[in-house]
Amino acid sequence: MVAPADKPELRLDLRSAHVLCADSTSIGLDIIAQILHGFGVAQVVRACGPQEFRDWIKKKTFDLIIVDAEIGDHEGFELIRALRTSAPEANRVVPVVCVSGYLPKSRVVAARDCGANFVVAKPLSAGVLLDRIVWLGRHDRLFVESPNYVGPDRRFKNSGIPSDTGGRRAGDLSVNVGHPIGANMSQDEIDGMLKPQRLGL
Amino acid sequence: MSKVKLRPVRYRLRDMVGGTRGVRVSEALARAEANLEQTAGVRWAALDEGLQELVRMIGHGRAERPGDDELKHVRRTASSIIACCMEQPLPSVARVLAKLCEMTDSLLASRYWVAGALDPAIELALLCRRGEVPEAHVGPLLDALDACIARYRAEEEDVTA
Repeated sequence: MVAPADKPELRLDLRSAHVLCADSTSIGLDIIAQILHGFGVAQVVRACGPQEFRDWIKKKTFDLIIVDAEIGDHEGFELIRALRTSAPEANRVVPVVCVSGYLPKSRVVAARDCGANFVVAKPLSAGVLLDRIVWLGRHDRLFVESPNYVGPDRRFKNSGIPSDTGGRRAGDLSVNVGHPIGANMSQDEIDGMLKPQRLGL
Repeated sequence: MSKVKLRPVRYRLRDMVGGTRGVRVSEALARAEANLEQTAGVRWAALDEGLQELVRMIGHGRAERPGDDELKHVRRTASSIIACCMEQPLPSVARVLAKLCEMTDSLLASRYWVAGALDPAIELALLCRRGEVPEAHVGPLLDALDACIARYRAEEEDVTA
Protein backbone atom coordinates (compact mmCIF):
# COMPACT_ATOMS: atom_id res chain seq x y z
CA MET A 1 0.00 0.00 0.00
CA VAL A 2 1.08 3.56 -0.65
CA ALA A 3 0.23 5.46 2.52
CA PRO A 4 -0.99 9.00 1.79
CA ALA A 5 1.71 10.28 4.10
CA ASP A 6 4.28 8.77 1.72
CA LYS A 7 2.94 10.77 -1.22
CA PRO A 8 1.76 14.07 0.24
CA GLU A 9 2.27 15.85 -3.08
CA LEU A 10 0.15 13.41 -5.07
CA ARG A 11 -3.02 15.07 -6.30
CA LEU A 12 -6.54 13.79 -6.47
CA ASP A 13 -9.58 15.31 -8.05
CA LEU A 14 -12.66 13.50 -6.79
CA ARG A 15 -15.13 16.31 -7.55
CA SER A 16 -16.84 14.28 -10.23
CA ALA A 17 -16.74 10.97 -8.34
CA HIS A 18 -20.05 9.35 -7.47
CA VAL A 19 -19.84 7.36 -4.27
CA LEU A 20 -22.56 5.19 -2.76
CA CYS A 21 -22.36 4.66 1.01
CA ALA A 22 -24.48 2.01 2.69
CA ASP A 23 -24.72 1.82 6.47
CA SER A 24 -27.65 1.08 8.72
CA THR A 25 -26.98 3.96 11.10
CA SER A 26 -27.18 7.63 10.30
CA ILE A 27 -24.04 8.34 12.33
CA GLY A 28 -22.16 5.69 10.33
CA LEU A 29 -23.26 7.38 7.11
CA ASP A 30 -22.39 10.83 8.46
CA ILE A 31 -18.87 9.76 9.33
CA ILE A 32 -18.19 8.26 5.90
CA ALA A 33 -19.75 11.26 4.16
CA GLN A 34 -17.68 13.75 6.16
CA ILE A 35 -14.49 11.91 5.28
CA LEU A 36 -15.42 11.78 1.59
CA HIS A 37 -16.42 15.45 1.49
CA GLY A 38 -13.02 16.22 2.96
CA PHE A 39 -11.44 14.33 0.08
CA GLY A 40 -13.38 16.54 -2.31
CA VAL A 41 -16.15 14.12 -3.29
CA ALA A 42 -19.24 16.17 -4.14
CA GLN A 43 -21.66 13.35 -4.88
CA VAL A 44 -22.13 11.12 -1.85
CA VAL A 45 -25.29 9.05 -2.08
CA ARG A 46 -26.50 7.46 1.16
CA ALA A 47 -28.38 4.18 1.50
CA CYS A 48 -29.52 3.27 4.99
CA GLY A 49 -30.93 -0.14 4.16
CA PRO A 50 -30.57 -3.04 1.74
CA GLN A 51 -33.56 -2.05 -0.40
CA GLU A 52 -32.33 1.52 -0.78
CA PHE A 53 -28.93 0.13 -1.75
CA ARG A 54 -30.46 -2.10 -4.46
CA ASP A 55 -32.57 0.78 -5.78
CA TRP A 56 -29.56 3.07 -6.14
CA ILE A 57 -27.55 0.39 -7.88
CA LYS A 58 -30.24 0.12 -10.55
CA LYS A 59 -30.66 3.89 -10.92
CA LYS A 60 -27.16 5.30 -10.99
CA THR A 61 -23.59 4.42 -11.92
CA PHE A 62 -21.01 4.79 -9.16
CA ASP A 63 -17.23 5.12 -9.06
CA LEU A 64 -16.89 3.69 -5.57
CA ILE A 65 -19.14 1.87 -3.15
CA ILE A 66 -18.59 1.77 0.60
CA VAL A 67 -20.80 -0.74 2.37
CA ASP A 68 -21.08 -1.81 5.99
CA ALA A 69 -20.77 -5.54 6.61
CA GLU A 70 -23.96 -5.45 8.64
CA ILE A 71 -26.74 -3.41 7.15
CA GLY A 72 -30.22 -3.67 8.58
CA ASP A 73 -30.96 -7.30 9.33
CA HIS A 74 -28.84 -8.35 6.39
CA GLU A 75 -25.23 -9.22 5.94
CA GLY A 76 -23.64 -6.61 3.71
CA PHE A 77 -21.74 -9.50 2.12
CA GLU A 78 -24.91 -10.68 0.41
CA LEU A 79 -25.46 -7.23 -1.04
CA ILE A 80 -21.93 -7.18 -2.44
CA ARG A 81 -22.33 -10.68 -3.89
CA ALA A 82 -25.60 -9.66 -5.54
CA LEU A 83 -23.94 -6.52 -6.89
CA ARG A 84 -21.14 -8.57 -8.46
CA THR A 85 -23.46 -11.11 -10.04
CA SER A 86 -26.55 -9.24 -11.08
CA ALA A 87 -26.11 -5.46 -11.10
CA PRO A 88 -25.88 -3.48 -14.35
CA GLU A 89 -22.40 -3.94 -15.88
CA ALA A 90 -20.96 -0.54 -14.88
CA ASN A 91 -21.80 -1.11 -11.22
CA ARG A 92 -20.95 -4.80 -11.27
CA VAL A 93 -17.24 -4.09 -11.60
CA VAL A 94 -17.11 -0.94 -9.47
CA PRO A 95 -14.61 -0.98 -6.57
CA VAL A 96 -16.21 -1.87 -3.25
CA VAL A 97 -14.81 -1.15 0.20
CA CYS A 98 -16.43 -3.19 2.96
CA VAL A 99 -16.33 -1.58 6.42
CA SER A 100 -17.20 -2.99 9.82
CA GLY A 101 -16.53 -2.51 13.51
CA TYR A 102 -16.31 -6.24 14.12
CA LEU A 103 -13.98 -8.15 11.83
CA PRO A 104 -12.88 -11.57 12.97
CA LYS A 105 -10.96 -13.52 10.35
CA SER A 106 -14.07 -15.36 9.17
CA ARG A 107 -15.75 -12.08 8.27
CA VAL A 108 -12.71 -10.69 6.53
CA VAL A 109 -12.59 -13.87 4.44
CA ALA A 110 -16.33 -13.60 3.79
CA ALA A 111 -15.91 -9.99 2.64
CA ARG A 112 -13.07 -10.93 0.32
CA ASP A 113 -14.96 -13.89 -1.08
CA CYS A 114 -18.13 -11.97 -1.82
CA GLY A 115 -16.20 -9.59 -4.06
CA ALA A 116 -15.08 -6.65 -1.93
CA ASN A 117 -11.88 -4.94 -3.09
CA PHE A 118 -10.86 -3.90 0.39
CA VAL A 119 -11.96 -4.41 3.97
CA VAL A 120 -11.52 -1.48 6.34
CA ALA A 121 -12.05 -1.63 10.10
CA LYS A 122 -14.13 0.89 12.01
CA PRO A 123 -13.59 3.32 13.58
CA LEU A 124 -12.62 4.61 10.17
CA SER A 125 -9.40 6.47 9.77
CA ALA A 126 -9.42 9.08 7.02
CA GLY A 127 -5.83 8.10 6.22
CA VAL A 128 -6.66 4.43 5.73
CA LEU A 129 -9.66 5.17 3.53
CA LEU A 130 -7.70 7.66 1.44
CA ASP A 131 -4.91 5.12 1.09
CA ARG A 132 -7.36 2.58 -0.37
CA ILE A 133 -8.86 5.13 -2.75
CA VAL A 134 -5.41 6.17 -3.96
CA TRP A 135 -4.51 2.51 -4.44
CA LEU A 136 -7.63 1.90 -6.51
CA GLY A 137 -6.83 4.97 -8.58
CA ARG A 138 -3.28 3.88 -9.33
CA HIS A 139 -3.45 0.13 -9.82
CA ASP A 140 -5.20 -2.15 -12.22
CA ARG A 141 -6.77 -5.29 -10.91
CA LEU A 142 -8.22 -8.05 -13.03
CA PHE A 143 -11.89 -8.87 -12.70
CA VAL A 144 -12.72 -12.55 -12.28
CA GLU A 145 -15.94 -14.23 -13.32
CA SER A 146 -16.34 -17.86 -12.39
CA PRO A 147 -19.17 -20.09 -11.22
CA ASN A 148 -18.02 -19.71 -7.60
CA TYR A 149 -16.72 -16.17 -7.48
CA VAL A 150 -17.29 -12.88 -9.23
CA GLY A 151 -15.20 -9.89 -8.28
CA PRO A 152 -11.74 -8.37 -8.32
CA ASP A 153 -8.83 -10.78 -8.55
CA ARG A 154 -8.19 -11.84 -4.97
CA ARG A 155 -4.54 -12.51 -5.72
CA PHE A 156 -3.30 -9.00 -6.23
CA LYS A 157 -0.55 -9.17 -3.65
CA ASN A 158 2.53 -10.88 -5.02
CA SER A 159 2.78 -13.48 -2.29
CA GLY A 160 2.57 -16.56 -4.49
CA ILE A 161 0.05 -19.35 -4.53
CA PRO A 162 -1.36 -20.73 -1.25
CA SER A 163 1.31 -22.90 0.39
CA ASP A 164 -0.85 -26.00 0.60
CA THR A 165 -1.74 -26.11 -3.10
CA GLY A 166 0.11 -26.62 -6.33
CA GLY A 167 -1.71 -23.72 -7.92
CA ARG A 168 -4.68 -23.75 -10.26
CA ARG A 169 -3.73 -21.44 -13.08
CA ALA A 170 -1.35 -22.32 -15.88
CA GLY A 171 0.88 -19.40 -14.89
CA ASP A 172 0.96 -20.13 -11.14
CA LEU A 173 4.48 -20.11 -9.76
CA SER A 174 5.77 -21.64 -6.55
CA VAL A 175 6.67 -19.38 -3.63
CA ASN A 176 9.92 -21.37 -3.29
CA VAL A 177 12.91 -20.23 -5.29
CA GLY A 178 13.64 -22.72 -8.02
CA HIS A 179 16.99 -24.03 -9.33
CA PRO A 180 18.81 -21.98 -11.95
CA ILE A 181 18.30 -23.42 -15.38
CA GLY A 182 22.04 -23.08 -16.12
CA ALA A 183 24.97 -20.70 -15.88
CA ASN A 184 25.13 -17.69 -18.18
CA MET A 185 27.07 -18.52 -21.36
CA SER A 186 29.92 -16.40 -22.68
CA GLN A 187 29.96 -15.32 -26.32
CA ASP A 188 32.75 -17.85 -27.05
CA GLU A 189 30.69 -20.65 -25.59
CA ILE A 190 27.69 -19.53 -27.63
CA ASP A 191 29.83 -19.35 -30.78
CA GLY A 192 31.28 -22.76 -30.06
CA MET A 193 27.81 -24.12 -29.84
CA LEU A 194 26.16 -22.30 -32.72
CA LYS A 195 28.97 -21.26 -35.14
CA PRO A 196 28.01 -22.33 -38.61
CA GLN A 197 30.64 -24.64 -40.05
CA ARG A 198 31.19 -25.01 -43.75
CA LEU A 199 30.67 -28.53 -44.67
CA GLY A 200 33.54 -29.79 -46.84
CA LEU A 201 32.61 -32.52 -49.21
CA MET B 1 -12.33 -26.05 -20.55
CA SER B 2 -12.10 -23.49 -17.73
CA LYS B 3 -15.20 -21.46 -16.99
CA VAL B 4 -13.10 -18.78 -15.31
CA LYS B 5 -12.89 -15.46 -17.15
CA LEU B 6 -10.32 -12.84 -16.25
CA ARG B 7 -10.53 -9.41 -17.78
CA PRO B 8 -8.89 -6.09 -17.10
CA VAL B 9 -11.12 -3.43 -15.61
CA ARG B 10 -10.23 0.23 -15.65
CA TYR B 11 -11.75 2.12 -12.75
CA ARG B 12 -12.84 5.68 -13.41
CA LEU B 13 -10.95 6.57 -10.22
CA ARG B 14 -7.86 6.14 -12.41
CA ASP B 15 -8.65 9.49 -14.01
CA MET B 16 -9.07 11.16 -10.64
CA VAL B 17 -5.88 10.19 -8.85
CA GLY B 18 -2.34 11.22 -9.69
CA GLY B 19 -3.16 13.92 -12.25
CA THR B 20 -2.27 17.59 -12.19
CA ARG B 21 -5.66 18.83 -11.00
CA GLY B 22 -7.41 18.75 -7.66
CA VAL B 23 -5.99 18.86 -4.16
CA ARG B 24 -2.87 17.33 -2.68
CA VAL B 25 -3.34 14.13 -0.72
CA SER B 26 -2.04 15.88 2.40
CA GLU B 27 -4.67 18.63 2.01
CA ALA B 28 -7.47 16.12 1.42
CA LEU B 29 -6.48 14.25 4.53
CA ALA B 30 -6.32 17.41 6.65
CA ARG B 31 -9.77 18.48 5.44
CA ALA B 32 -11.29 15.08 6.15
CA GLU B 33 -9.83 15.04 9.64
CA ALA B 34 -11.12 18.55 10.29
CA ASN B 35 -14.58 17.45 9.13
CA LEU B 36 -14.44 14.47 11.48
CA GLU B 37 -13.51 16.68 14.41
CA GLN B 38 -16.70 18.63 13.82
CA THR B 39 -18.76 15.46 14.22
CA ALA B 40 -17.28 14.64 17.64
CA GLY B 41 -20.30 15.81 19.66
CA VAL B 42 -22.77 13.84 17.55
CA ARG B 43 -20.55 10.75 17.60
CA TRP B 44 -20.18 10.79 21.37
CA ALA B 45 -23.93 11.19 21.81
CA ALA B 46 -24.55 8.25 19.45
CA LEU B 47 -22.00 6.18 21.36
CA ASP B 48 -23.64 6.93 24.71
CA GLU B 49 -27.07 6.17 23.31
CA GLY B 50 -25.83 2.85 21.90
CA LEU B 51 -24.19 1.90 25.20
CA GLN B 52 -27.41 2.63 27.05
CA GLU B 53 -29.33 0.51 24.56
CA LEU B 54 -26.92 -2.36 25.22
CA VAL B 55 -27.46 -1.95 28.99
CA ARG B 56 -31.23 -2.04 28.47
CA MET B 57 -31.04 -5.13 26.27
CA ILE B 58 -28.61 -7.32 28.15
CA GLY B 59 -27.34 -5.45 31.21
CA HIS B 60 -28.39 -5.58 34.87
CA GLY B 61 -27.62 -9.30 35.30
CA ARG B 62 -30.18 -10.41 32.78
CA ALA B 63 -31.22 -13.87 33.92
CA GLU B 64 -32.76 -15.49 30.83
CA ARG B 65 -30.95 -16.03 27.54
CA PRO B 66 -31.98 -13.47 24.91
CA GLY B 67 -33.31 -14.91 21.66
CA ASP B 68 -30.97 -15.26 18.70
CA ASP B 69 -32.41 -12.20 16.99
CA GLU B 70 -31.90 -10.15 20.11
CA LEU B 71 -28.30 -11.35 20.44
CA LYS B 72 -27.70 -10.47 16.79
CA HIS B 73 -29.13 -7.04 17.50
CA VAL B 74 -26.72 -6.69 20.41
CA ARG B 75 -23.80 -7.59 18.15
CA ARG B 76 -25.01 -5.19 15.45
CA THR B 77 -25.45 -2.34 17.94
CA ALA B 78 -22.02 -2.89 19.48
CA SER B 79 -20.42 -3.14 16.06
CA SER B 80 -22.13 -0.01 14.76
CA ILE B 81 -21.15 2.24 17.67
CA ILE B 82 -17.52 1.22 17.29
CA ALA B 83 -17.63 3.66 14.37
CA CYS B 84 -17.95 6.51 16.89
CA CYS B 85 -14.83 5.64 18.88
CA MET B 86 -12.14 7.71 17.21
CA GLU B 87 -10.30 9.82 19.71
CA GLN B 88 -8.87 9.07 23.16
CA PRO B 89 -10.05 7.46 25.35
CA LEU B 90 -12.54 5.95 22.92
CA PRO B 91 -10.30 3.48 21.08
CA SER B 92 -10.29 1.37 24.25
CA VAL B 93 -14.11 1.45 24.19
CA ALA B 94 -13.91 0.18 20.60
CA ARG B 95 -11.70 -2.74 21.68
CA VAL B 96 -14.12 -3.68 24.46
CA LEU B 97 -17.10 -3.45 22.11
CA ALA B 98 -15.35 -5.72 19.61
CA LYS B 99 -14.80 -8.18 22.45
CA LEU B 100 -18.49 -7.90 23.32
CA CYS B 101 -19.26 -8.85 19.71
CA GLU B 102 -17.00 -11.90 20.10
CA MET B 103 -18.70 -12.93 23.34
CA THR B 104 -22.10 -12.48 21.71
CA ASP B 105 -20.99 -14.67 18.80
CA SER B 106 -19.90 -17.37 21.22
CA LEU B 107 -23.21 -17.29 23.04
CA LEU B 108 -25.13 -17.25 19.76
CA ALA B 109 -23.56 -20.58 18.92
CA SER B 110 -24.96 -22.24 22.05
CA ARG B 111 -28.00 -22.43 24.32
CA TYR B 112 -25.79 -21.66 27.29
CA TRP B 113 -26.49 -18.59 29.37
CA VAL B 114 -25.54 -17.52 32.84
CA ALA B 115 -27.19 -14.52 34.52
CA GLY B 116 -25.37 -11.37 33.46
CA ALA B 117 -23.25 -13.24 30.90
CA LEU B 118 -22.43 -10.07 28.99
CA ASP B 119 -22.37 -7.66 31.94
CA PRO B 120 -18.56 -7.70 32.36
CA ALA B 121 -18.06 -6.45 28.80
CA ILE B 122 -20.76 -3.79 29.04
CA GLU B 123 -19.53 -2.54 32.42
CA LEU B 124 -15.97 -2.37 31.12
CA ALA B 125 -17.13 -0.44 28.05
CA LEU B 126 -18.91 2.06 30.30
CA LEU B 127 -15.85 2.45 32.53
CA CYS B 128 -13.62 3.02 29.48
CA ARG B 129 -16.11 5.51 28.11
CA ARG B 130 -15.85 7.52 31.30
CA GLY B 131 -12.08 7.36 31.06
CA GLU B 132 -11.82 5.45 34.34
CA VAL B 133 -9.60 2.64 33.03
CA PRO B 134 -5.95 3.44 32.34
CA GLU B 135 -4.92 2.36 28.85
CA ALA B 136 -2.39 -0.10 30.29
CA HIS B 137 -5.14 -1.97 32.15
CA VAL B 138 -7.38 -2.46 29.12
CA GLY B 139 -5.36 -5.36 27.64
CA PRO B 140 -5.42 -7.50 30.82
CA LEU B 141 -9.13 -6.77 31.26
CA LEU B 142 -9.82 -7.89 27.70
CA ASP B 143 -7.91 -11.08 28.52
CA ALA B 144 -10.24 -11.48 31.48
CA LEU B 145 -13.20 -11.24 29.11
CA ASP B 146 -11.60 -14.00 27.04
CA ALA B 147 -11.46 -16.01 30.23
CA CYS B 148 -15.22 -15.44 30.65
CA ILE B 149 -15.80 -16.95 27.19
CA ALA B 150 -13.56 -19.92 28.08
CA ARG B 151 -15.45 -20.41 31.33
CA TYR B 152 -18.83 -20.33 29.58
CA ARG B 153 -17.55 -22.92 27.12
CA ALA B 154 -16.25 -25.17 29.87
CA GLU B 155 -19.51 -24.91 31.83
CA GLU B 156 -21.53 -25.64 28.72
CA GLU B 157 -19.42 -28.74 28.05
CA ASP B 158 -19.99 -29.89 31.66
CA VAL B 159 -23.74 -29.47 31.24
CA THR B 160 -23.89 -31.27 27.90
CA ALA B 161 -21.47 -34.08 28.94
